[in-house]
Amino acid sequence: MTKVPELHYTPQMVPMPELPPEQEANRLHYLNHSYGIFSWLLTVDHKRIGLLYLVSASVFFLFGGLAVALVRLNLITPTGAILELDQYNKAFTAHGTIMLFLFLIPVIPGVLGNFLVPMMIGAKDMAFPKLNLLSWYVWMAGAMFFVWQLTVGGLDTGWTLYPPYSSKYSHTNVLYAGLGIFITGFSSILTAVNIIATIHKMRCPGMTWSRLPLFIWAMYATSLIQLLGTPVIAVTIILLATEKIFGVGIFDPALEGDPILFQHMFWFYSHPAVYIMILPGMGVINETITCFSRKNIFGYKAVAWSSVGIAVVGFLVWGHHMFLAGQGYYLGLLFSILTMLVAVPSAIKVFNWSATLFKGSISFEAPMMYTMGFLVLFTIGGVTGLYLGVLGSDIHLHDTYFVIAHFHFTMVGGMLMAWLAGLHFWWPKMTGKMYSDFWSRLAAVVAIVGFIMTFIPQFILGYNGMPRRYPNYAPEFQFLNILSTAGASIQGIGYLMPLFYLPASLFLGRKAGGNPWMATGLEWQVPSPPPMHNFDSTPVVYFGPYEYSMPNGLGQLEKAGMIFSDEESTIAHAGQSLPEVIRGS
Amino acid sequence: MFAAIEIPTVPPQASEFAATYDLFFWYITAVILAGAGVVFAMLIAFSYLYARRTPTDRTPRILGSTKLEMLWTGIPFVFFMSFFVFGFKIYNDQLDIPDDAPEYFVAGKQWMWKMQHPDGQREINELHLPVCDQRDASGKLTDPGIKMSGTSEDVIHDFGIPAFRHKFDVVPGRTITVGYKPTLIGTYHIFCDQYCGQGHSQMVGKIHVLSKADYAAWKEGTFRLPGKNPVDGSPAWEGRKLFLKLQCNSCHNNEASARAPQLSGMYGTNRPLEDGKLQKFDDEYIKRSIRNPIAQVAAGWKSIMPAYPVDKVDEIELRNLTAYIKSLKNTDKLPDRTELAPAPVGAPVQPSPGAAAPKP
Amino acid sequence: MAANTMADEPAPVAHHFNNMLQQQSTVRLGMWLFLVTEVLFFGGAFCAYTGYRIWFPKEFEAGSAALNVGIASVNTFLLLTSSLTCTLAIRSAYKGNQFGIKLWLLATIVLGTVFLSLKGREYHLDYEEGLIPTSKRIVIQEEQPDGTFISKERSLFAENVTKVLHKEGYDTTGVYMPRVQLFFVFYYVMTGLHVLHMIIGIGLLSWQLILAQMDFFRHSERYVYIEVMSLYWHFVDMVWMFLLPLLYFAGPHTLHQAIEQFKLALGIASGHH
Repeated sequence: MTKVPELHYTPQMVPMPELPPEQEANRLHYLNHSYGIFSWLLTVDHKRIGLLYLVSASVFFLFGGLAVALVRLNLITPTGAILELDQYNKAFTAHGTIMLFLFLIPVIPGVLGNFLVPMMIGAKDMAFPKLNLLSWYVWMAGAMFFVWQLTVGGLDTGWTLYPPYSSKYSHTNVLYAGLGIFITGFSSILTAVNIIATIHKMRCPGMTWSRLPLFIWAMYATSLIQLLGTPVIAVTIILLATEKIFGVGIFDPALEGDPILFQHMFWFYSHPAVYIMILPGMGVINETITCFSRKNIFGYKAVAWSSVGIAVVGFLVWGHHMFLAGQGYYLGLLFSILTMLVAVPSAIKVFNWSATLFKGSISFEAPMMYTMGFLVLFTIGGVTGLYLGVLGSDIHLHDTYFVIAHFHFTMVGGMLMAWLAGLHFWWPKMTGKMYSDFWSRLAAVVAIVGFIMTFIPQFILGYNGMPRRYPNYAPEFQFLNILSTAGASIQGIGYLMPLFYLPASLFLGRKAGGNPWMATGLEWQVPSPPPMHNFDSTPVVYFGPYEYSMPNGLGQLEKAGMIFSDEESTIAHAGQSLPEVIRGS
Repeated sequence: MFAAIEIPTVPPQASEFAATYDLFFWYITAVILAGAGVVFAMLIAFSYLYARRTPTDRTPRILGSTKLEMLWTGIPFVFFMSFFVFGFKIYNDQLDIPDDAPEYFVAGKQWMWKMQHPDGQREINELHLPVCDQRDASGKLTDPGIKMSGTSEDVIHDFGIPAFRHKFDVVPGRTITVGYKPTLIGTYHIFCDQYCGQGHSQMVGKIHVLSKADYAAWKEGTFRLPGKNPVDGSPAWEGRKLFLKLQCNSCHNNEASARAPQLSGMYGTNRPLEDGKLQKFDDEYIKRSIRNPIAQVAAGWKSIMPAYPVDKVDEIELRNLTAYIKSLKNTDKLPDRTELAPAPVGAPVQPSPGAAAPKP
Repeated sequence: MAANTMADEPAPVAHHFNNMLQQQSTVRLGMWLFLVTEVLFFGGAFCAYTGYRIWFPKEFEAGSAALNVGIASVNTFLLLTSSLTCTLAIRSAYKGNQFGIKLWLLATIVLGTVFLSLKGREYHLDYEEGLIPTSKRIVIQEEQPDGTFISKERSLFAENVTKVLHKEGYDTTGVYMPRVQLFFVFYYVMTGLHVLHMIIGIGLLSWQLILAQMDFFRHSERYVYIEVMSLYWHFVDMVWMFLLPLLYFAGPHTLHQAIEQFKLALGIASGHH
């Protein structure tokens, strides 16, 4: 490791030269470039498409939250407080499917990925802008169809859709709901193709792979998983539908089929799916933690390669959901070892992030509060996964509230916190307005406290044997359930608060300017909101993405004689004509 | 109010596996608390020590450290592997079921558990088991424990017993066999742990671990649990229900005009037959009397009892009837001739005052 | 002849690309990425099929023996040829030969359509033979050695497939007939998905033919769009090359059978029934 001497000059970012107010008011950017509903519905601008995803994903998040409100309220009493058995089963299925397929999987790639990937790599748009819009429409079609199915008849199989229950015994809309999931899956494949092609082919000169922001590495790894995993769930749904429609036995043991085959095929996608959900969140954390501690990321290569490692090894561990299903002794052994392996890259990331804080200059605005929440809660979520990945300890904890607590710590405490961190971090860039510092910090605290209160009791419930998906439960579990519901209410308030202060900032917030957080990164080098085509001229990159300990701007570097070029200092790829260069002041 | 708040902490350790399991669970917990503790300590310490002081703070340009990377890759990996090894060992150990362990059977069905004992007694949603308490000189359990095989009749369920720290999926079309060694007398939950439809949360039951003596008494139908159904689910109880359903009591009853002999307190005695021989009133005799009554009629009685071949009374039902008859003491009264419906589940079998003495 | 002069002015580059090379390279990468998803899509079905085939080799062999390998063989020839014609279309586009583009695209479309018609005919013949998976059961009268009849309930599908196999001269002893239905489910699902992809492919090819008619390909740089279309078409062809041995060659067939079965497809019943 080469020792880099400490550089002693002020690391202040050179702020973007702001236009004088009269010119700023008349500046054309992506929001005011054109007006009218069709300019939004027929847009091919990746930034507008990102906002389309923002609105729809937030609406679906509310639906999923409504479903879980019903679930948790019902669990106040051991015999079910407000719902019948069937209604409860539909409610928890709705919560799971909506949150997974209509929120966790699409939200960061759809909103932040679409908005930021081209900007972070210095491109004018995604590789396939029209495909991007099509992606949104396909997703909306699938999602709205799916939600409609949940409302008019419901789905009561759990999001896992296991046969023979789902194919032969359930009287709910398994087929149509499956179709909805199929369609949204197709959309995520199109988004993944777009993101991978963009990152490969549209990087600006000087943006080598080792100078990419880690958010891009994360989006790349996520898109790889989406590309490889989603088609398998698609064909699984087709087989399940065939079984249900034609009454034949693909997974039905009474007709020569094997229900465990469904589980293998289902989890082959659904385990990598959880990495599709968390990797973008981890990508966001890279950006916020460096900005708010004003330091370079500790171990860039380690973090970048651990994203790829998670993506690859994540495909090899699906059987840890089936330790007790009868998949076989040796398979269980193999999956357990591989699961221990896949835990390592996540641990590496957490340590690297913590080390990034060392000797930094840390401030705790809302994005950083959500980031710290992520670090604590995702760590807990990750380590509790170890109990479940090991053969011996999974026996007792399988399908209990312990599993529920584990995945909510990673998905909500991890991914949702990261999403909120990203939303709050890039909100000024997307809208040009800054939201209330007080209310945003308060919302973060409320959400995190509520979260802990909701899910810590669930670890205890699970260890004591309370099973998942139970509308009624043994009476001795009541106190912990009430505690959990109380926490959920507090948590809900924390998530509802941004619905007020964020839109309010559009009208009441102060102008944010191009770089309110004094962050590095190409997206912060343009005004907020960004111009239609992102950059007035193609940027050229000469150094890594997190040079907080050095001044930004080419001019300063040249003056200091400190232009660092990494291993590859040349133009990125073939066919590029030498573009103009952005000069810092 | 707070006195009534119940916070379950650890379920009872009711099986041999439970004890090893808990040890492993707390080992993992200790390690991860330490690891997470390191991370949290870093977060808290750095947040405090390095909080921003001025907008123009200097920060050092630290890019990384290969040594640290190797350290925090290697150490977690070693610990994770220790989890795997330890976990695999205890997983393996509980798969090791002695061949001579008596085999129980459970069939899951929407939404109930049907259990069967090795000698055929059936229970629904309840399972009575004998405790394993034979230990050798070093304290190691020498009881073979029990074998439990399970399948499902419709969708996938999961037979879970938190107190044993054990569960397994019961899958239609397959039978999976596991083993338990219950070590603590008591009553514990059975939960269905794989979502199976509307009644998934109703598919719960109770495991009763009894002392070996109590277990034998339960099989006889004489065991009474304080405050609970005395004999419900026991073979003798099932036998009584069948006795009434088949209307055996239309002849075998307490009235003076009864057309068939009294059965209370008969078991184990010697009874004279029609041809003058003495017949021991044992299991075989009961069986023959039900299957082919005219072969050995009791002295002084007409040969009017119909036969009950296997399609009317199957083997398990036969065992239950036998158990019921065996359980009848001198003081127990046969049901009245007018008692047609089986008594409600849980109704104790009480002898009524002034019961007629059994007719010779 | 006017074609080449039309290609004099360079093709306009899309607004978000810097130059045509980048645009072409990106379009190509996009199609390859999409094809990766298709590999996984069919791969999932192939894996499920393989699992069952390893468990039930006899039943899968029997099922395969009941398939119409004559039609399949002719279809294979058609599809492989269509891949050739598609590649020739790329070459024409590269050279700026507008007539060639339209000719070869049309040839590909025609060959694909004939494939689909034969496939449809094959499905129809399967339907006539009663080889559609169903949960229906029928009651048959089984003759006992002593001349009396007893009623037995059987799976309708199992009865139909047994009839077909006996007609082909296939020995069905030791084959558990209800399981053969599993093979047929996979047959219909896998070939059905393939047919769906072919229909989409023909649609896209037709669209490109229309574009060619509208002189879209006057810029020879736009050959890349024909290239990615042909990548897709080749992929569909590759899937068929996997389906063919997996489904059709699992069981025994003879050349004579193949010819007879193909004649059936054309409606030339040679006294087979």
